[in-house]
Amino acid sequence: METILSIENLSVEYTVGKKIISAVRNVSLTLNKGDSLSIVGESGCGKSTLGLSMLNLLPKEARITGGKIIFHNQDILRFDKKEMQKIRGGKIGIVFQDPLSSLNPVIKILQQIRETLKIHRRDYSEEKIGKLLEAVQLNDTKRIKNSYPHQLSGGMRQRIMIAIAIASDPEILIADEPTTSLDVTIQKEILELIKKLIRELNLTVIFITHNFGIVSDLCNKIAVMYAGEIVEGGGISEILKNPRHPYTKALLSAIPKKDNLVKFNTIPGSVSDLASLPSGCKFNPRCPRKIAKCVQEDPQLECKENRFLRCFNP
Amino acid sequence: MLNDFILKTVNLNKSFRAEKNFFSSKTSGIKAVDNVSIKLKNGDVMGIAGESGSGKTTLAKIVSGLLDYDSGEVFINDRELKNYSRYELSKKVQMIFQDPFSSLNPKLSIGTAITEAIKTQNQNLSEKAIEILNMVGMAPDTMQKYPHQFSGGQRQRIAIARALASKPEIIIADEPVSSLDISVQAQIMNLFLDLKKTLGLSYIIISHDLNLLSAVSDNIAIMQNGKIIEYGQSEKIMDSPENPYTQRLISSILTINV
Repeated sequence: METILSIENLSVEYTVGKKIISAVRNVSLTLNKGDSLSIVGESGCGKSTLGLSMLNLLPKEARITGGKIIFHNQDILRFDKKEMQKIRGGKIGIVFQDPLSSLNPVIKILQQIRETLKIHRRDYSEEKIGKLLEAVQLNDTKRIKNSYPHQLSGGMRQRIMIAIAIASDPEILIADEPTTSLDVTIQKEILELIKKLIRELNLTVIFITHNFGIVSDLCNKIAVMYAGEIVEGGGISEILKNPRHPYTKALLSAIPKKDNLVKFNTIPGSVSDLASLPSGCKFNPRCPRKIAKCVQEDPQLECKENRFLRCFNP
Repeated sequence: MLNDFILKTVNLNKSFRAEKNFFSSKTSGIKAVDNVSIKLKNGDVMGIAGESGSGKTTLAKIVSGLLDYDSGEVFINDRELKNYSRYELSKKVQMIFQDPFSSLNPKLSIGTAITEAIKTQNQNLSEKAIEILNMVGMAPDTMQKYPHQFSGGQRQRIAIARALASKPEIIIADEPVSSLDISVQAQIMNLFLDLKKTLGLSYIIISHDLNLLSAVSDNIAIMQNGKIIEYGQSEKIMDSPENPYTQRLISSILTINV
């Protein structure tokens, strides 16, 4: 299989006031052509920071302190502004959670899609734009092209974002919580659309989400993040069927099931302050399987039979 | 029995007037709550689900006394809502919102926010406030801090503490956990369940997460376009929904298939 993107030991820090927050630590990932990888974790685990660093879109408070992001044998972290622009929105497309804040409110949809096509030197005729809208199942193309974002519903706006993301035939699509702000029925439709596009356009996808339900029938690989590190990773069905890291287990069991119950399963405590992380395993203060070693040493992400695990006592 | 239902609405209606159309002087109304009758039994949990704009929040605001209604009746303990004074109503119903950050005053310390709510009760203020914070699992030093110093889950706990301060009998929670992480969601829902047991509270919980609703509710109401289109025991709604829209909602629930 052809490796299309690989991240090697990436670390990202934010400087907030006098504090240094290490949002991503030593993350390594490999993405083969045709993969759909989900990065799952709770707020503050670094999943969005990871997504943004792949496009060099990190805010100015952030600093990449180490590592490489290799896209087609080139380290894109060394790219200058111009080179990066070709990749961003060109070879790698992105869809964010909130389509209203990612679309320009005072520009008509037609113009917004055309802009992307122009920048990446593609055919920007109305016909092509019409086709793009049809690809994302927006059929009333005439009306939509002449609409402003506020005249469309949330689901339609997200479809427009997807149309823009796929406009320049990207190889990789990064979707950062693309359905979180939508109603459940619309969420399902958008996921079906993304599934269809993956198939038809042969896209490689990185799906960033906190929802295991979304990824289970969309992705083939999963990486679970906690406090800036990947704690478990591998094939999605193996991990969901048989999670080994105590955090993955706890997270899966906290999902509400439909049966009436007396108590929800929770994870005791809360996520450690990223500015002052505990020694040893970052999950140890909340872990039910903690042993002495977990406090003394940092567990490494180890690979066994295609599964990655960062735990001394699974 | 008279007091069987702690909260009841009969044919409740509320419309919002949309802006005047540019071309005509006609004003069009949007029926946000359309002929809604619900009954909440003492000690029960009622779940309300439905898509955005279906009227869930409007209904919740009406029964909390935060919004006027056009016609119909709302009863709390067999007495009409309109006959309650604000003070009396605050001791019956309290509402909790989705975003605890915007419902807490950023300039008030938590201690002040909660003692304000207790003041109406004329008790030993800070002692009582600490006791309430303790009930929701927050330490006494919370009193001196401000909302921005807490995480989303902690802020929701504080919002719940403030609601509890006036010793209500009914809690109306509008999407109380939808902005929180899964593991934090579970903690907050457990808190609701605990308080139900210890304080004998009744709840109306609004959520788009049907799995979560069915796990905690005795009954579930499904709303669409201001109407309740299906109502029943939660197991029945989940296992054999009759209305096509309810069926669609349930089939849209994402489950983990492996």
